[in-house]
Amino acid sequence: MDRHERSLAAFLAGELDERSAAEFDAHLLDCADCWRAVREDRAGRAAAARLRDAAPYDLADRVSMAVGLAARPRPARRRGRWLAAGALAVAAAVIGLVVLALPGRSADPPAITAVVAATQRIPVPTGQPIPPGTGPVAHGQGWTVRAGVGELRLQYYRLDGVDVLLAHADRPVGTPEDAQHAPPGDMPWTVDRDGITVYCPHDDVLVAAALPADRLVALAQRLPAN
Amino acid sequence: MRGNGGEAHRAFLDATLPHLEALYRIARHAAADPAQADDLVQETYLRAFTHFDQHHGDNTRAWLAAICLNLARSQARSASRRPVEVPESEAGEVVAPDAVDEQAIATLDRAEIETALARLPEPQRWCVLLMDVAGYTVRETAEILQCPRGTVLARVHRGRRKLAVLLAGTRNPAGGDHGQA
Repeated sequence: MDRHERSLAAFLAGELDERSAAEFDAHLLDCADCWRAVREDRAGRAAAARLRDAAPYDLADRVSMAVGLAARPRPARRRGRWLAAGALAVAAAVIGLVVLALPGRSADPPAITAVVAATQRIPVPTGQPIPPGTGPVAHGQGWTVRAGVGELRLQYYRLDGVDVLLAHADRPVGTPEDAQHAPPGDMPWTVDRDGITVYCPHDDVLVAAALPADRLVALAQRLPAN
Repeated sequence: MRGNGGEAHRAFLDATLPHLEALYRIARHAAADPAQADDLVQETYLRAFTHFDQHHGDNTRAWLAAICLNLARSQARSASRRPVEVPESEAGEVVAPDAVDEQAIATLDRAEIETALARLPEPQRWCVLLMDVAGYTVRETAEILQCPRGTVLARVHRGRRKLAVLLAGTRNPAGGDHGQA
């Protein structure tokens, strides 16, 4: 970059002092090359400015969820297993997998882990209170998280005065080893994780809440697309 | 940083989430695949969270941008899908068309602008992306790219000019590009 171009760049960046800027202004009247450079700079900057996108509305929720999962402490009894899996977890992080923490049981499918973590973070609903016997009413915006190699679409609902989480997966979520099938042998199952009941009515749908299993199953029948 | 409990991760999010929009604008055009911009932002936050205790808070916005660009570079290398680049020469690489029609450029659709931006040499592309798309200052851009601010000014100026010339060529292919490969 020669001195001339350096002066031009400084002029365009507004970094010349008043006297130098005035001199350069006068120079532009007589120098076709510099004037063309100024026009091209302004056109290029205006074109690039048109690429200013707004972030997707759910990206902040998604990022917060991913960081929240990564921050969860791991019970000491699982440390050995975690260390053994450490190299794999690091590799998974590099290729964009999110659900690394294991808040439920270490053998749980990632979707179960993500749903339990999201249920533990249910926010207090805002707006008009929803009386018992009514609902379901969605509260908050739905968002998407990664769970293993799949994605989950999550949405909080309030019905009969309690909050539940509904999750739709883009693939079968898997079944925990200790799932309770009701009736035995049928698809629907429930499982308890740290006081959170997770109910799976279909292989790509999960419902979760801090409720007894029988009450959650009853409420789940009233949720949309379930 | 992991395992320090809820306070640590809330402090991290308080410090970093205000910069989500700027990060997304970088990721949208730095990701090997634009459809993976969300993933790149998320991965940036996870990487930053892991190293948050080493960050001294000088300029969190610039620190996040540096992480995002480094991830984008390594992902592009892994995927071998780097955008087509034009070699950067130190002088005279911009051959101006007869006229850069600013009004015509203003009517181009964004896909054409994205394509032209992806054709810039990487040093120029990063400067235009950081300053004109994501809104970083010259000083922040120099910090992110770890180069002198004079170099940033030169690169962003050349990048803008080349972008304008490429777009003028897009609008007027018969006479505008003048062999800008």
